[in-house]
Amino acid sequence: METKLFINKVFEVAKNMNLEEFEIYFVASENETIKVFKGDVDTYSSSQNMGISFRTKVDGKMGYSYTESLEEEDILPLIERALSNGKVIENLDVIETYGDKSEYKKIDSFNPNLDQISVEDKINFLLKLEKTAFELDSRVKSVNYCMLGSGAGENIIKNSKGLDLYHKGNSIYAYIAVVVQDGESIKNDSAYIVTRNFSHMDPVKLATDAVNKALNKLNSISIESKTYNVIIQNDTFADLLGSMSGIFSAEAVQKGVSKLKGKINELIANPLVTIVDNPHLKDGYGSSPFDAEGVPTQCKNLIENGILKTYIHNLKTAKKDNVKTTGNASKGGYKGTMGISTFNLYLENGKTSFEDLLGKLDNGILITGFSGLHSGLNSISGDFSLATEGFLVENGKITKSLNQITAAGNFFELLKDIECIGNDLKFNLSSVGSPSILVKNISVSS
Amino acid sequence: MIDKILVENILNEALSTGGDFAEIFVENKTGDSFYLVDGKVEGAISGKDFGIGIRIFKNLFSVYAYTNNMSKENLLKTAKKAAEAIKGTKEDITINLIKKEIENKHKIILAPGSVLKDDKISLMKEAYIAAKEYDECISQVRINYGDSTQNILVANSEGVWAEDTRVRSRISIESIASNMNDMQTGSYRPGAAKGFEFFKEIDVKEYAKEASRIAKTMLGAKYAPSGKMPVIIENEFGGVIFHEACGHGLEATSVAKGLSVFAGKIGQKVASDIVSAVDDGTLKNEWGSSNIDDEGTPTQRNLLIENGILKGYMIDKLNGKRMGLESTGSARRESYKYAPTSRMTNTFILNGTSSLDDMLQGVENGIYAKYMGGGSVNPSTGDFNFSVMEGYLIENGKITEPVRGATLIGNGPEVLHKIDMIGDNLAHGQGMCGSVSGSIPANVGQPRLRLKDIVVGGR
Repeated sequence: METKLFINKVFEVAKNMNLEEFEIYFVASENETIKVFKGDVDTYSSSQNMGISFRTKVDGKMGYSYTESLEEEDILPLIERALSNGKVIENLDVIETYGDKSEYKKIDSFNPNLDQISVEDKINFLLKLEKTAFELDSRVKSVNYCMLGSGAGENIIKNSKGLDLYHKGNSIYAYIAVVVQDGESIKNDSAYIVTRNFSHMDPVKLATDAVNKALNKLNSISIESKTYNVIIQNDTFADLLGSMSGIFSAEAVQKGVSKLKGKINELIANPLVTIVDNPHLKDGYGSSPFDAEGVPTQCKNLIENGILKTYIHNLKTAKKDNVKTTGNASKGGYKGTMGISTFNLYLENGKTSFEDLLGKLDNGILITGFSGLHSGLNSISGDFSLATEGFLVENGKITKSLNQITAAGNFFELLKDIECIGNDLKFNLSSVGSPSILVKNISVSS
Repeated sequence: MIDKILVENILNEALSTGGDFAEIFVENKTGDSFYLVDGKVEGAISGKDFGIGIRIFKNLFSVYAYTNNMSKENLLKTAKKAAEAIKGTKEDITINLIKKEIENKHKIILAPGSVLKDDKISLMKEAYIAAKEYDECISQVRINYGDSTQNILVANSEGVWAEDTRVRSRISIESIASNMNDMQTGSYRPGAAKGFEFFKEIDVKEYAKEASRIAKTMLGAKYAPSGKMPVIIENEFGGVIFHEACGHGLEATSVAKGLSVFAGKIGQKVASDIVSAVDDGTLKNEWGSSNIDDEGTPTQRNLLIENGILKGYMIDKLNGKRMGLESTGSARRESYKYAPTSRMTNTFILNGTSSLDDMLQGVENGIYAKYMGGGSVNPSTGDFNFSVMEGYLIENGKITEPVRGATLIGNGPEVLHKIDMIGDNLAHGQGMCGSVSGSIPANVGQPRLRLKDIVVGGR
């Protein structure tokens, strides 16, 4: 059945059943991915996907259900499953849908020209990207991934309180991963670009970036296991910050699983540190005019000059804390229940250039990548011990690549131990950003 | 799930531009998912996933398209659009679909759909209470319950018409222990390819207490030491080391294109003599098992390493074509949203003969890893990492005090040679494995084993 029609039918049926309060959350996306391997197109994929999440209140409690199948026969089970799920909820926190008349920030996330790029142009881009990587250096052994993807998505929230919101966005990305070999030494690295403007994608620059990063890692050395002062490179710290972002959630605080409980207005980081969540960031891939409950989003400092200013809320947690929601309700697509997350989360730039950071470090380690964040980081205690990529820094200069090291510390201690912040803010693919930072006393094993 | 004539039409449309193979994968999946925290059910969601994936090969070029708009017009349009990626003329392929009779090896006694939600919730509460009451320091317990019933149909231009139903149930218990300054966690996540009977066969309370015991133990623990040292890894989820260090590198996904460190090494010695390992998708009702893989090929027991010699890879159709080898029934995908590729099912190291005492003997300073967390690997270099959830120091041949925060790192091909003792207590643990074809249920397993030395990242 056609989507709009299905949504309207669900709405009508729910209305006629006299449900207390209900909401339809619709997500649809279209994607295309092309991969090239050894001069030929290797894979072409295209997809269209949609789903509807339905939630309704039963005796003041909210039940959820979803369906990917949008046929007449799916309407009643969708509503009935949500009702039966609402009945088993025991938490008595007040949950409401949102229906206030609100001003929404205009966020431009859609470029109609992206649809116009031909498949041939995309393939030519990839062939050039792969060819460039091989031609740059004879030590390039293989190009594991050479891919280009583009996608568009739309989101509708419509509820019994009169809310009827729509937002759409699109983007295009390219990704290359290369393996280089020199004798016994094998290393790999990758580079990516995400944009809404195809002309911003330069295959030579991208290939050069990936190849140079991989070549720099060759012929690595081992070092002594001890405590070092380090620079954590911008996107690497962004990855760590992103993995810890749950600590700001009011839900986690209220359930006693965030160490930030009771710390509002306390100094929890070096006064240099300001951490922002900005849903209105221009060209930010997490940008959105409204959150998953349809509440207008807002820009706010979570940590300001080292002081914790606010948690992030949805309607439920805000009501419980007797504050206004920060508009951070989130849903993991149509299959999720209501949670909380950030939009574009970042550590604000400092004033120091990357070169000057190296000078300030003088002797230590430059950390350029963490692996296994999902297992080597305890996102509650903040303890981490992570497989790490990095370089030795001697007298302010990057000298040698390091072979298989781990870096261990605690995120909460690290926030206090930040000594200097760079001015090279960069976002990772998860809409979390950071400049490079100088930190003292990180345990390194080799 | 879908009409046979329509399937034939889709396959014909898919082959209209010269493809030499076409396949459809239809999925209909339902399930319940509940979340309990603070002793109360906080979240409940049920849903239906329904969609189709269409795949076409032309030699080694593959096209994949999926949609969940299941109207006849849209399905034919999707097949046509996918076919447009191939530039050629139709080959002479006649499609004659014949239903494969497949014996169901994984019998379900209590279908999750027939079990009352209240029974599922009572189970969660039982676990909650057992975990929470374990000790005063347990400040919070989070329980997730999930079941799923996935019906699939695979049909392809070679005439395959195969159906399977996969039922899976799992409970996840996470305990948090707190004191004035610190919080630590412990978790246990048993699961199986079974219905609700699974929870009657196991003692959920014991798993819950174990999760709390781990959290409590880690709360008082000091940081693990750092540097190279011997490590003894317990059985069950300890098998994550083989999964990361070697398993991913034996998937045709990376072997076929020569991107794995294990490519081209069949018949060569890749591990110490005492190591034999298999991937077995046929194990009765195990978490990673199924009757057929996601290309319709029956699953099988695949010998990977025997007495240290590399014997085989895990292979899917497309990569098999590249390698000139048959599928080993290893094609898997999270859902119709992913093209299948070769993945692990239930992967484990076989039993050896050493006792714990044998292993401890002669270890002056080392780590005993009782429970492992997760990990990851870079298949191009073989560099892997994984974390120790509950660890202890070994001092002068004795297991002494608990230590926290240890991550083990190493290189796959190197570490397999460093396994110098293997115990006889093989057991399996359940995990979700993420890779190119999505997140899928997979067992890891091993008996207790000892590594001569490995880098421990403590502080």
